[in-house]
Amino acid sequence: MSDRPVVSCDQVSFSYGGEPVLDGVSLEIATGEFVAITGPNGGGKSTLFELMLGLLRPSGGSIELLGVPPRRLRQRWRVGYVPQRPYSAVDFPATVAEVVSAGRWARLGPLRFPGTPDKKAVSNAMEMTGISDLVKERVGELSGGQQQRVHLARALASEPDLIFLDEPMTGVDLRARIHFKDVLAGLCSEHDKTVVLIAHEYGPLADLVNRLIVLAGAIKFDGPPPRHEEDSHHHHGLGSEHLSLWDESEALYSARDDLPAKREEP
Amino acid sequence: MSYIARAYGGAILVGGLAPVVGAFIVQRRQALIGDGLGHLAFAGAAGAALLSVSPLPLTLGITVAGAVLLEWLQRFARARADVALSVIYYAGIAAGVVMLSATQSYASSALTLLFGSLLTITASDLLLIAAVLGGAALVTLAGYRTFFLMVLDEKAAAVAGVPVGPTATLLTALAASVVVAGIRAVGVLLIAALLVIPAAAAQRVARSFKASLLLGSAFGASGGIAGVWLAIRLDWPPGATIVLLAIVLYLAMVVAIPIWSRVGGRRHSAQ
Repeated sequence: MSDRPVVSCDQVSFSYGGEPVLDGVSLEIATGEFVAITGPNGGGKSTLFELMLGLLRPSGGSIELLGVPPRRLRQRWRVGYVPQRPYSAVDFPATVAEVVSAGRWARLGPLRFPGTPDKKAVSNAMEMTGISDLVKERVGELSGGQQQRVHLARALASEPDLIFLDEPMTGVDLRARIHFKDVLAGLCSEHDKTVVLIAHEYGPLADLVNRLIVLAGAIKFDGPPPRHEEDSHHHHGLGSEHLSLWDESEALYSARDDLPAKREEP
Repeated sequence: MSYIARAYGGAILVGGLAPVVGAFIVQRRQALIGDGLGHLAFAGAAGAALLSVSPLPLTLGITVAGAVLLEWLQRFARARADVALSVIYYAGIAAGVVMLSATQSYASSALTLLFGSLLTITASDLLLIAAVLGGAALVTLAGYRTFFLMVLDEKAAAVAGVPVGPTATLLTALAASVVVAGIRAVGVLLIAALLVIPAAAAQRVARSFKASLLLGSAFGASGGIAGVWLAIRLDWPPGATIVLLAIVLYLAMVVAIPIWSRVGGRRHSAQ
């Protein structure tokens, strides 16, 4: 596996209509990391996400995704993306199999027929996400949690090197969150995928996140997340899954001057 | 070929091929776009009548240009979708009325453009309709994966490498072609209905997207045949009759399917 970072941002800045949103953001994400980006509303989380994916152009600085500027990445299949609340309308006439297979098209192009490896990749993605029994269901008729797994399977069908998840825990119940966490845990432990997600809450993902980036216009913290066993007395008996990642990060870090503003390199 | 056979041919072509493009238009929440484009086509056809030139190239050119302008207004000038569509809609109808009023046969030209005239369609009209609609359907099917990814989720499509802006513009231009080709058959006011309603009816019942494309075409073509048959017997205008049948079919899908699944569910739970 290459030591080169899969994502690299160097002094990235971005403004919307003259209003600065991000300023001087520098970070590197290595293969196999599970990174959660958090921060207050308007702190630039979604903007940074879209910049890393090449959906926006930075006003200043440079970004590399898998070694090239995101918009010049030809092998788009190497990046999986699950949008925020990717819920299909009830009248969207597509089966789970159709939606998951569509994830493979970034690899196949517009006209090439899927071969045996493609069909196997699609079936593996459905198996990994536990939706193999839903293949013929209409995706719009599934629950929010099931639809979320369908879209994760779509992202996995291209066998990407890294996966971007936009607020994966928003709008799904606790049981679905735990199921989703188990799927991601399997991905990280067995398939060595790099995961980058935006999150307001840890939810059940607390155990998986090994790097937390707090963003409020600039990087306010970058390092391993706090461990709840040590800090549970701060939380008045609430389960960690109910805590706002941003509030907690703010409480734990913003008032403490001794913490590094940037991640320390090993 | 008799005029009745040509009328059936026109109805089958428009009814069967328009929903192929319409399926993606419905899922992009652009069901009214055909109406706006239809009014632009009205301006194009009126301009052709004024200049005494062949209507198809001018109408197609103006309507496709309007489709590109519509996407540009929304994406780059950041106009709201309903405002952008209104601009196109009223520009088309106002320009059309001005140009048509300058021609000598204002009333009859306007009526033909507004409501179509399936029973007076000529063999060369039929060939042109087949060429334009067949071309639009082929391009849509060739770009099936790209269009499907876009209607599934625009951001995810962009991450997967779909050029969303040009793809959206192409889809709108294809809808414009369908509208222009169908005007001769059902008129400016009703062509958008055949783009959208059979596709929307099919999407209520089909389980997969591919099935919805086939079913939409089947609904549109069979509605076309039944509409012409009924119009001849009742002496009704054929375009309007076809559209009324498509609406009856859509309402049947809206009402019948929930009842059907409730009955099915009851049976299932009784077993």
